[in-house]
Amino acid sequence: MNSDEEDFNDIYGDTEKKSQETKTEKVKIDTMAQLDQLAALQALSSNLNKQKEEETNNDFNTTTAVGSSNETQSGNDNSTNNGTAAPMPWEQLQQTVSQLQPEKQTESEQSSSSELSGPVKADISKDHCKMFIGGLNWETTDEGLKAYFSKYGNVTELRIMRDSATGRSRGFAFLTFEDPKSVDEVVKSQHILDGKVIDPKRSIPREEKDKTGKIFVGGIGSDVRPKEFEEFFAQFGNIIDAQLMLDKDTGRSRGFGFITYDTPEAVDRVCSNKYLEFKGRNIEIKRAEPRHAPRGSEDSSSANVNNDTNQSSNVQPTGDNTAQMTNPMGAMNPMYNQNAMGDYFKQMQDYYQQMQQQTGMDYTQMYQQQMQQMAMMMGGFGMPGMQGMPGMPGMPEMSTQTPNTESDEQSQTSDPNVQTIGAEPVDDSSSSQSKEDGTTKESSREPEFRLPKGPRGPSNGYPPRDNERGNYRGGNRGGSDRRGDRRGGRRGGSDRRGDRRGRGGNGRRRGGGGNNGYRGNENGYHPYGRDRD
Amino acid sequence: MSNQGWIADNRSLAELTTLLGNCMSSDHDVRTNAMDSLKVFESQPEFFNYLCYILIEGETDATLLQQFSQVDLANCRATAGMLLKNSLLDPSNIATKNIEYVKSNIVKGLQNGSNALVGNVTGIVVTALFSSYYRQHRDDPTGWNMLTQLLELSSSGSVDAAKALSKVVEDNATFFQLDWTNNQSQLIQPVEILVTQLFLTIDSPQLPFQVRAECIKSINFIIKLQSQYFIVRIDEYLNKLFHLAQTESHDPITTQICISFTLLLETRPDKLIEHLSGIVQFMLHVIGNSTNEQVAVEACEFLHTFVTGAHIPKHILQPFVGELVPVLLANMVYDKDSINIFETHNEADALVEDKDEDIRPMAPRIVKKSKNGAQADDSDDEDDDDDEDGDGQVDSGWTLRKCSAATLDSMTNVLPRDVIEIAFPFLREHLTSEEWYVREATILALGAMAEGGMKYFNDQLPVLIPFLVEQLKDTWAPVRKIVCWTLSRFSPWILQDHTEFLIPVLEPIVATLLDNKKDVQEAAISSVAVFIENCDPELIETLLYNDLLQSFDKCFALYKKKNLIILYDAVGRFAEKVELDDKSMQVILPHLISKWSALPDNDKELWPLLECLSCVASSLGERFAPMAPEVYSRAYRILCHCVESESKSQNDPTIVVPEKDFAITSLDLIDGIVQALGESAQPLLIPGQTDRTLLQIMLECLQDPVHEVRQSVFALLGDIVTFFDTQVLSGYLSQFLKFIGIEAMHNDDIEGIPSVINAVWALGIISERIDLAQYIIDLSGILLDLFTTTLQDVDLAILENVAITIGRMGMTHPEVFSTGKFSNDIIWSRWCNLVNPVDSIEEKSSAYLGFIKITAMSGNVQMSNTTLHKIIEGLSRNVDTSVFSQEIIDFLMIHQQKLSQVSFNDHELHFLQSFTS
Repeated sequence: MNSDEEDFNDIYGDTEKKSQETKTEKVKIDTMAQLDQLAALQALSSNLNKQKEEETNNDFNTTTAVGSSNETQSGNDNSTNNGTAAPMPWEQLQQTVSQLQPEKQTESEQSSSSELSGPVKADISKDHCKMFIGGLNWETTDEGLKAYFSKYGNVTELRIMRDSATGRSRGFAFLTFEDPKSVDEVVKSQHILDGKVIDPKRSIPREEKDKTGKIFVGGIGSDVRPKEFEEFFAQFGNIIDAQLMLDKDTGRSRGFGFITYDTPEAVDRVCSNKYLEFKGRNIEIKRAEPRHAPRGSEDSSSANVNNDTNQSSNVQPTGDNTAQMTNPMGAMNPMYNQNAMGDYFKQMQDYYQQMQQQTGMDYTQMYQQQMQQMAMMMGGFGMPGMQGMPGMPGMPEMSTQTPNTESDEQSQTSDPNVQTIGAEPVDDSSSSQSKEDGTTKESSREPEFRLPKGPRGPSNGYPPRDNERGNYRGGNRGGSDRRGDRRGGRRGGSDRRGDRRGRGGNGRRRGGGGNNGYRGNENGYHPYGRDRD
Repeated sequence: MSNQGWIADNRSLAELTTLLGNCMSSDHDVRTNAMDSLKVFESQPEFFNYLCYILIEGETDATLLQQFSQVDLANCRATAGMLLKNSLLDPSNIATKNIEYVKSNIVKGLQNGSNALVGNVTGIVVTALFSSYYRQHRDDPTGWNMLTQLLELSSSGSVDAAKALSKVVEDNATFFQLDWTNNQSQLIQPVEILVTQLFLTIDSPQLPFQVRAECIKSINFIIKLQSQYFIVRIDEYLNKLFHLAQTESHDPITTQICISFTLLLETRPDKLIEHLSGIVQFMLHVIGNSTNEQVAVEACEFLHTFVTGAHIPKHILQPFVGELVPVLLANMVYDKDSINIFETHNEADALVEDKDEDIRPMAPRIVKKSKNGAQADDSDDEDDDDDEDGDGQVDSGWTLRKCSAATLDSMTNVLPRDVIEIAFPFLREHLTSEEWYVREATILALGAMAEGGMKYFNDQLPVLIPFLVEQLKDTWAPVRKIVCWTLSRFSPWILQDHTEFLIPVLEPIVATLLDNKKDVQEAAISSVAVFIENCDPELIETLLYNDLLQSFDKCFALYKKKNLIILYDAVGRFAEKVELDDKSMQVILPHLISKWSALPDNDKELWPLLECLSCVASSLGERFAPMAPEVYSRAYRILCHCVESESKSQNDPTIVVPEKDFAITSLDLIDGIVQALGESAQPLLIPGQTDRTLLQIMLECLQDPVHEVRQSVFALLGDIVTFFDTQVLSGYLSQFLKFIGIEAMHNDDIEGIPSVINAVWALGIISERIDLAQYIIDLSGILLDLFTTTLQDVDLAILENVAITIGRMGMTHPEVFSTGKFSNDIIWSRWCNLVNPVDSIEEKSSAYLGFIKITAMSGNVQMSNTTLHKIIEGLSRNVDTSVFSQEIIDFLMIHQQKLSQVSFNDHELHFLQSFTS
């Protein structure tokens, strides 16, 4: 395997060629002395990983362990990436490009196979005769464009968008075929017109968008690449748009993203798993809230644990006891009140559960420990999370001391591919467990939108709001955070208008950052904001 | 000096005094008559003499003593003084009236000292005399005389003179560095004698403490000058200060000492560094022991300056953290009075209408008040505020609590780890205190430390945030209020890395929008606004849109005046973030329109509303079309009124000019309509293709000295060019370009940065659409000067826009940049640094298109590998290369050799690959 192939893999991800990867490493160490260090690091990290596995095996199910090893694996991938930022001759670039082709094919095969296996797929081709064509040469004319696409079918309507001032092409067009099959044909292959690679995409008519479904995905590892992201979610259905939010500066994942499927069923399939495992992390799935739909039917969400925990986010103060909440920073409250803690406790558990799933640390146990200790002793107790602080007990040690048996049980029974971590923390009252079970059943039968941790979970999945932006983003275009939005191209948005609003807060007597609304901090609450002198 | 021997005519004197008395009569008719008769007097050349005479001789003049009671006389004297002051401040009076008598005699008013009111008023007249006459007439030796008289009187113990002196110095300090003529016709800089004399005075313990306090105050105004006369004696002054600090306990003196130290720390930290330990101890002592909060605030101001001072190295501050943090935390608890007020006003008030006086007056933003130093007398005002039983009023004014919080905030930014280490045990102990005000202060402290300490809080936040959310249910309104704020301070943490917290945190805050306490509503809506501001549009669209819309709907129904203003702001931000849809038309717009119709054109409440409508219109896009004509015609009417009255007032000073905010917000609303409707707004703005009145008005506004007005015009100009037929500008282009050029050249005012940004941005838009032809040389020259100057630090946002505009100009005229200043590798590299982070695809694409064309024409420039890498990096992100792929391929071909020497990352390689196929 030569370095071209490595780059190839780096770009397109390569999860199924582990054996080759080891080879790759050998070659690299031979050829590049600078990688010695890297190899040493890898060895070290795999040692650590083994250790970690041994430790965690006692406490967590094997899936979790595999998960963590996946994570380490991906870490290795990353370091490999860094290693290959090596000189790259021009000719090699071209070679690499030629190697790109087979991969693309496999990809489309994959997607077509998933199309076949995907059940009850909504017929998106029906009435879907419209296309967006991007990347046009400025010189391309209506006639030229029509002539080109006519080989796929009868073009009924066509409009190249032009600058109103200069009449110059803006480089994109809308085109409508008579037959939706033409659209299917067009998207299958690459197109070059007037010397430019053009970019045809299905356009989703507004009314049809209601038949699609959008989800929010959170808790994604920062090493996840857009393509992996899209590939992973392709297992649930046909993706119209996958958008992994990337950090502007580092280009790394910001931990969340959005997927738009062509069917609501695909969304249901994804959402039947409250949490999914992806690259060693348990990710969070939420159905995107519909914008046009009426406020969800509250009762259908009653099975939701989170709704139960805190049904009323009460505007009115609920009474004095709230003031006697457990101090999260560990101080003991002598007025500790078990009843008053109920809601809070459940809510906290949910957070801890999340944390556990994302970090592999058992916060729930820690929380319970904390509660027990609080009940027992009246002294101050170190805050569980004070890991960074001197003299505080570290978190990992604490978590390994208390195995979560229930989590074991559940994960063992769950599908290894699409894992549901419904690990409900151990609770003396078994009610919450049964509730959780209820939820699981409920959700598999009729998947509903859930806001897992909110005091009040607005329920119901609805198709996403009509969103122009979707049109401009191709399913295969991962990562580039590209918006065809009207306002997308304006410097204005933030700078121009923003500045005038006097944001910034560098005034001598202002604490930076606060809410500076219309005319500085004259409006809006800031506890120590001060008008500029 | 014929006036020296001026003698008042007794009859006139009595008449005028009676008039002055009647001017203050409670009877309206008497008052009006007196005012009218006074006008007759005003035209007399001796009018000032009489006023002055009444003021200073009132208690000695036999006639007056005979005819008036003591009380009446005292009032008349004060009135005469104020009238004199006002008249003196009118420059036309100085030119036409005789002021010799005033100049020679006014000081007498400070000498008698029997009447505090007269003393004060005289001081004000003296100050007016310096401000409107002497500073321009420094060759008049009576000015010098008066100054020395003030110094002498002060050193002999006259409090009135010392007060007058400090006022004179406050207003005229810079002029005292210039030459003044003394009695012997010598040229002397008063600052020298001021320093000498004031130093002597503060050293005299036998003088009244007020005199010494006022003298230190005078010195404080001189410190700011950094005059040589002071700097050479700075050590001497420090010694005096240390001595005073140890021996004096009078509040006014202590206050001025604190201010002195603060100013010295700002101007000459090197002088203080070795004494810092002692000074900090002194400040802590004052904070801990002063019974007067204002004194403690000044001491805390020193700490704030200490902590924020960019020129004070971290390691100097570090040893003090342990001492400072506990004191700051302790003082973040509300004071006793405030606690009392809160505890007696905790009941629901959401349905109580706001009184107009509850709303902080919307002072026009353009008024720049120079409030020098803090005055101890300010504290009086706050007591007044507290007395109005409005609970929100407790928080007005600058308090020890606020100053402590601001200091803790800044300190956490500088030394997060140290501060947190010290603060945590305290916070942990108090977070669940039984006293609500302790909990409140602890949560405030958390919020104050949020920004600087975010990453150190990382481990705690997963626990802390749910806890804070729970506190939104606290029975005490101030706690709920502060929780809203503190949660918003942690919004970056939630939104960047921990979106799983977003809904659980935001939902309860959104619910709190409808709190039964207006104060809490205010904090909640502010908090929501912050979250919206920091949130990705996608998150709002997919997760929060409906919730927020419905909450806003309810808020519109519930909120009273004051919170409505903030609600407008939040709705505006919401509209800026996401594209509003039909539902919002039904939900939000009716509220805005009904409010809009209810307010008259001159109501200041229109400002935030216009601002909000502008955002909403632009977000609604074409859906706004039905409302556009009506909204536009009103915004246009308001704008016209502003411009007309502005130009009329040039000739007629009686015309009241509306606040600039009317012009600014209506310009912005017009811009919002253009953004909403695009080219279909053209018939609205330019009726009948020919009526260009709006452009005329825009040009008028571009001559406005207020930056914000020009800023809004440039924004509108850019959008007009973007959307409208470019023919619209024909005939006006050269004038607009002229103003753009002027704006870009006058870039040294920090306040004016946004208007420069908009001007440069608009130029970029214009050059992309209209051939600049003969103007290109001048304008490119101006931009290049701005881009390459080493003489000043140009604001980064300006530079970014200049870089983009250079690129845009290069699209059609690469030749002007291919030689000369722009044609070298370092400048190119700088250009890339500025343009690469740009988010907007449209802007970055056209900038790079032009830039690539420029490089193609700059054959003689040797491009470095670093620059090449930067260019590829820039092209590979947020650039629509489809519009100029041929140019890029040519570019790559030219630099083919070098490409192989550069290490690209995956993304860049991928980008390059797309051009080799």
